[in-house]
Amino acid sequence: MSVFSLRRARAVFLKEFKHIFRDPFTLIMALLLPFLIVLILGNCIEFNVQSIDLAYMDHDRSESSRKLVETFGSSDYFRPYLVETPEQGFADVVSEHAKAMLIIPPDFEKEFVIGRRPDVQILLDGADNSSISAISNYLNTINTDAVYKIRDIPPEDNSPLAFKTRYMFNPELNSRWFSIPGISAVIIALVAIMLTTLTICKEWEQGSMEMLLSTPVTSLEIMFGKLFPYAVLSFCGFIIVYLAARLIFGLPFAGSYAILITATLLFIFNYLALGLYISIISHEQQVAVQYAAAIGLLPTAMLSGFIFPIQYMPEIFQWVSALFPARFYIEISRDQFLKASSWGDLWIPFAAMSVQAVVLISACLWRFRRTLE
Amino acid sequence: MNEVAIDITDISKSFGKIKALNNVSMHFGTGKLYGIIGPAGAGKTTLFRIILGLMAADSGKISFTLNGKNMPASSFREVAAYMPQTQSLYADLSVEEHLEFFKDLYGISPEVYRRKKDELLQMTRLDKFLDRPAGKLSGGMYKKLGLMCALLRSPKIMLLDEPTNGVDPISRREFWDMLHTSVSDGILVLMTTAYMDEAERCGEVVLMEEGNVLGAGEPRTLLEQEKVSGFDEFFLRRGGLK
Repeated sequence: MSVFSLRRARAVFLKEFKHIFRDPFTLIMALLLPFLIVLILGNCIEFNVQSIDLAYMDHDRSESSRKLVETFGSSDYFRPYLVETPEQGFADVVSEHAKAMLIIPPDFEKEFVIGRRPDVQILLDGADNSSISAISNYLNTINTDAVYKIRDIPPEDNSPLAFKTRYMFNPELNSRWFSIPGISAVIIALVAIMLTTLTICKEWEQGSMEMLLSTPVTSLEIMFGKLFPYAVLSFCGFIIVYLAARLIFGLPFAGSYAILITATLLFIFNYLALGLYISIISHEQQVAVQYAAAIGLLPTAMLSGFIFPIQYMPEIFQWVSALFPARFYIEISRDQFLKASSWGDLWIPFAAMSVQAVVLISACLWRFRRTLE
Repeated sequence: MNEVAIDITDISKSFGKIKALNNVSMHFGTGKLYGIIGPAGAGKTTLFRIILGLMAADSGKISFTLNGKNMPASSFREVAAYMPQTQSLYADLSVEEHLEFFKDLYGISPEVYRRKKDELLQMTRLDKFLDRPAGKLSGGMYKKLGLMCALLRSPKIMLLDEPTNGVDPISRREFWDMLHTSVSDGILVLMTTAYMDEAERCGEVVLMEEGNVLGAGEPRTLLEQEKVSGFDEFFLRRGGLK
């Protein structure tokens, strides 16, 4: 009896492909869902704040106060509109018609001219945490710009020091450029972990595994035949994300395809092994789905740096995140889209994923026995 | 002629506190149809799984012989076919796709496959249903397909776990005819059943209850020894004594 027969592995593989193509659920999950996820996440994860509605109340009604409001309006960030009473502006913030409110005091111009620093009040909707920090950043810039505008002098003239900031790799600080390269990690998690776990558990639950194990087919052939189709599907998911990133969201691709594809294949391998391990320890679809969500999907979304940046996590979570391959894959993927580091620069994430792959496969081999117990 | 025999000596197996098999011993030789008879929970399925090496026994010994020579358990798998009790076929694969799949798993050559397939289709009369998915077959046809997959590899030993369970009477009779054909072809057939009327159609029976062997031998001789008219009476009387 040969240890690995290509014919038997191919038979399992072809059978699995038939299951996939006859089950619309699997196909939708594997091909349509990735596309929808890219579109939805790509459009919704937006950290850039623009066109903030700003209610303003001008008690001074002077040239200076008008210039201040103009400064706000001339940036793309704010859309100022006049309210008659403070109560009306306040009500607008409460009802979220406005994100912020600006109140200019009566003797704004007078105080400005005599060289005092007039107090201008800004009310911000603190309940909306996500846009607050962006708005506060804009306020600093507008503060400086407004002073020049009111004094009617060109900027930078009297400043001893001028910072000229240029954002490398992502000149417009487009947050989509940052988030989309990570989406393929989530999609591979979905296809590689969820679907493989389900298909192997189904085989146990239906009793067909008992029949398979009584035939000459070896466990290695079963695993290869059952996992390979999902490796292909996962890779299709990756291609869908890549094409959507380039064609729909206009991302650049600065790096090397060899690096990105190697990283993707290594990552897919890791997650197939994880899905396999889950199905070995659970044997039941319902239990397996819960495991898959808890140790597969959730950490991939939450602890990988996909949504929450790793460097701002408490240290213990930074260590926890290093347990999951997604963190390293997302690091490489982002890098290759925007920065194009070399193999040598990326040896740490590659080494980490390789170690994880060895650990996972050893765990599978250790737990999988060719018996029903 | 291939003479295959299985000798089981003092096999025990427990699941937690439940003793599924309690020191059972039995002998099976070629050319006969053995029925392992007993109510649910007698340990029939566990016995099959242990014979096939799908489970390890806690204690005891199984030896296989081919033409009088000892055969390792791994070679035994090469000549055995198994049909589990649970529905173990793929609902979305057609009759033909099942045959193709098992052809590859068993490594059957194209010529042998063509001949064997025609022969089996004729026997089971499933030739009109080649394209029908297994999930849409009737209970009897489903079991016949299972038997076809098992017979496809031309096994020397066949283990069938409750093959007639949930099958209508006419299909059951057809199924039995197929089993007798296999036996006359020289295959050692072991089957379990909870249908007592089927016991009398076996060449030899092993009566089991709660992991113990109650008796073994030719059905008629056994019935005479126990002075009962049928096996249902045998089990009912035992139940009454407890």
